[in-house]
Amino acid sequence: MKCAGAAPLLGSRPGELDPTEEAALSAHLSSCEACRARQADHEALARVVENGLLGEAARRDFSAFADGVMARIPAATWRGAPAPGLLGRVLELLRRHRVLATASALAPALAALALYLYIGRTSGTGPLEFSVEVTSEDLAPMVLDTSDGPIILVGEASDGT
Amino acid sequence: MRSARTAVAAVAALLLASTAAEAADSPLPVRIRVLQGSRQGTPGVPPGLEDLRGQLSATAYVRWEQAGEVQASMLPKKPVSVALPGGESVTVTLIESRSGAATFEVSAPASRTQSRVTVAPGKRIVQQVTAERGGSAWFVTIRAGG
Repeated sequence: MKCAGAAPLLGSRPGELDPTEEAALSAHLSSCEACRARQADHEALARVVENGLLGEAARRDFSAFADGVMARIPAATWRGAPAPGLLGRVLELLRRHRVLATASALAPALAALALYLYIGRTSGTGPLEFSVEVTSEDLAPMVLDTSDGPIILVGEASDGT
Repeated sequence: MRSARTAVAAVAALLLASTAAEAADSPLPVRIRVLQGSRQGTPGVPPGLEDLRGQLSATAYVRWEQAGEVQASMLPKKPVSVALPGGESVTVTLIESRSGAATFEVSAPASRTQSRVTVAPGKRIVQQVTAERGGSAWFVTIRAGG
């Protein structure tokens, strides 16, 4: 490897070069003083930049960062949401899951309706047990009420019938 | 929101369809039996009439026999004729069937009697259809649901 080929590789970050490039660069640096000097300059510059960034970061106060993010989330997603609290969170949950909330609200009503229809179809203990209307030209009908249903009696035949 | 409205509309449509289907006229299985009740003789109810024992025992007739049976899928306003021994007949007409309750009209020319009875599901109609002669009379029993 010559200096022209080694120049782009100088100052590379650890792990940035593949093993072949790393071996070639290492071999070149062992025999080229000028490139070793450039490499040393790159490393010194990297250390200066790194220390400068860390120092700048250390001077910044990030203590309010998390609070600021959390404060902006409701404003962006709730759109005039209610006051924070248990009720507010429940309402927010209902807003986010409208279908589920609707189904949950309808389910008891539908269950009650189904039960009402079922009882109406199958039960014989409703208000209507039976109703009877009987007409006879020459007999005297009589209706007996029993728990199993009505009994309609018309009596004996009169003479001549 | 649109999904919720769609779900509510679908449920409402199902309920309406169910109600409409229920209201539609559909054949009602009906069991009609012809019985003879007698005041005299050895008291007894045949095994086939055990389900009627409660009603039959409420009458003054003590001996019961079954003389015929008709099982039909009745439609409203379509009369079914039931023959009685001796050549007479009784006409049973389903007037309507709603919410499980059925209304029957029983016409008995032999006794010149006509009745209109509405019974809840599971109930039976026991009707005397001939005047009593010599201590016995003919009856029909009607039960919706077979």
